Amino acid sequence: MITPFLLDVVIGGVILGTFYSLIAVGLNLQYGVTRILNVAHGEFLMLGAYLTYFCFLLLGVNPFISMIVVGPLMFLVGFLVYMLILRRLVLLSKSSEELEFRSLLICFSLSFIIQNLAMVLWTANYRSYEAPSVGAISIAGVTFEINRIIVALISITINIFLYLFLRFTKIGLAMWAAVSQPEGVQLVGVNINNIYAISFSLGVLFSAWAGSLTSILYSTINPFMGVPYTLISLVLVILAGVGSFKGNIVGGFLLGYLAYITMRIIHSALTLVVIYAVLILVLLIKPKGLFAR
Amino acid sequence: MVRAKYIVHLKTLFPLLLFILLIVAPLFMIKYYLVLLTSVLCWIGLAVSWHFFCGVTKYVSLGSAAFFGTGVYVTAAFCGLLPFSLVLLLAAIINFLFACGVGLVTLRMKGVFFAIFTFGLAELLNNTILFWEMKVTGTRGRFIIPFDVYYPILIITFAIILSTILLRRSRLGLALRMIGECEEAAVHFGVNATLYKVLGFALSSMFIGLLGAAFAPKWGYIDSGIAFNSLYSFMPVIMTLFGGIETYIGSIVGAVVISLVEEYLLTAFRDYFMIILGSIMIITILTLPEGITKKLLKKTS
Repeated sequence: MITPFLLDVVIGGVILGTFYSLIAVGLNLQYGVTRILNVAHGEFLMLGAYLTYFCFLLLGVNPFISMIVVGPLMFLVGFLVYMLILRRLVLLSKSSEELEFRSLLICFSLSFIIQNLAMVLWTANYRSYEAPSVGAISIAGVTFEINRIIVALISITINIFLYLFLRFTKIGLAMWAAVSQPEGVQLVGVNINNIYAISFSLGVLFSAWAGSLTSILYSTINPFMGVPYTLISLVLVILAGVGSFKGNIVGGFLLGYLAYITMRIIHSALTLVVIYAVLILVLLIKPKGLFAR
Repeated sequence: MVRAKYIVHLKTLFPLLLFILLIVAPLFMIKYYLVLLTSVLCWIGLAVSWHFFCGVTKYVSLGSAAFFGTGVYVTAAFCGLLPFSLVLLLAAIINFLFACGVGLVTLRMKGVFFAIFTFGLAELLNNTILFWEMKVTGTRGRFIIPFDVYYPILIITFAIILSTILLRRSRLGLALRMIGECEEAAVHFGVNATLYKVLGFALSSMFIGLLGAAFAPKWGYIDSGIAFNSLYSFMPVIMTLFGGIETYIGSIVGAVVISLVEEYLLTAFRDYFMIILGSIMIITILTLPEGITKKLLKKTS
C-alpha cells in the first residue's frame, strides 16, 4: 500500500520540481540582472502554450519539436517589449528602487493587456490537445507517462545549458556579473543596456518554453492560465534568493514536492495556499531568501 | 493680504459646499447617476486610503482587494443578524486587527517584495474561501439583501478624507512622511518606525475594509471572485499615480477621472476594457511621472 504511493510521490515530486525550476528560472534571470520584476511572466508562458497548441493543431507539429521555433519567436517578442516600453523606463529612472516599482506596475499592466488580448483573439474557452504519447512505463506498480519524464529531462537540460551559458560565454559572464555588480560591469566596458535587453528577452524565451511544456503536461490552455505560474515563480524567486542559480533548483524541488504531496493527499485547489504558507514562513525566518548571497 | 484671506476662505468653503451638495444629491438625481456617484465616491475613498499609507511611505501595497473583500464578507456573514452600523463597526475592527498581523509580518520587507506579498494575500484569501465553499459548506457565494448604500459610502469617504487631513500634521502623519523620505534617518531621530508603519497600514486597511463592508449590499449577490477582484488592488494605485502621488488631492482627482473613464469603457467597449486600462497605465507611468494634477497646475501658473 505504502510503497507505490511513496514511489509515486518521489518521482512525481522530481518531475514537478524540475518543471518548477524551469518556470522560475526566467523570472529569476530577469529580476536578478535588470531589477525588472516581470509579473507578466505567466502571460508569456500562456502565449508559449498557445503557440505550441496552434503549431500542433494547424501544422501537426509535435510539441517537443515546435519548442525550437516557439522559443526564439518569443525571444523576439520579449525583445520588442523591452525596446518599446521598458528601455525608456530604465533610462528614465533615477534609482533602482524607482525602477523596480514602476516596472512592476508596467508589467502588471502588460499582463492585463496580454490576457485580455488573448481573450479577444482566442476566446476564454479552455482548449486542449492530446500530445502524441510515447507510452508509459511502470515501476513497481506505478505507471508514469514517458512524456512527463521527457518534460523533466528537458527542464534539466535547459537549466544545465543556461548554467553553461552564464559561466562560459562572454555575454553570459557579463549577465552573471551584472547581478551582483551593475556598476562594475559598466566600468569594464560592457554595454549594460544590451545586457538588460538580452536578459529580459531570454527570460521571456524560458517562460515560453515552460509554457510549451505546461501544455504537454496539463493540456488545458486558456488566457488566464498564467496567473498561478506567476505566483509560483515569484515565491520560488523569493525562496531561492535573487540571482541564485543553486537556490532556484533546490527551491524548485522543495516546492515541487510540497505541491505534489498537497495534490495527492489533500486537494489540488490548496497547492497555492500551501506554497504561500511556505513563503510566509521563509520570510519570517530569512527575509532575504534561503540561498541569498 | 485680502486676496490671500479670500483664497483661504475659498479653500474651506468649496469642500463644504460640495459636501452639502452631495448630501442633497439623492433628492434630484436620476437613479443611474446616483449609482455612478456611489461608485465614484467609493473609488475616491479607496484611492485616498491607499495614499494615506502607501502613497506617503512608498511601501507599495497591491493588497487592497484583500481588505476590501474581507469587509465584503463580514457584511455577507452578519448583515441580517446585526444592525448595519454594528456590521460596519465589526468590519472595521476585524480589518484593523487583520492588517496589524499582516503588517507585523510584512512591513520589514521593502520594495517589490512587499508589493508581491500583499498581492498574493488577496489571491490566497480568494483561493481559501473558494476551497472552503467547495469542500466544507458546498455552496458558491452568498446573498445579501440589497439596499441603497449612497449615504454610508458618502459618510465613510468623507470621514476618510477628513482623517487624512487631520492626521497629516499629527505625530503619526509626520512619522509616516519621514519614513517615506528616508526610513533610516527617521529611525535615527528616534521614530519608532515599526509601530507607526503597522499603525498606518492598519488604519489604511481599516478604511478600505469599511468601504468594502458598506459597498457589499449594492450587489445583492457576492462570491470570492467579486469580493477579492484584483481591480480593487490596482485601481487605487493607477488612480493615485494618474492624479499625482504627492498629496491626497492627486488621489481624489485621479479617482474621479479614472472611475468615469472606467464607467464609459465598461459600457462602450466591454471586451477591450482591461486592454485600454492597461495602456492608460503604461502611458501614465512613462509620460506623467508626477501625475496630471501637478502638470495642470504648472500649466496654469
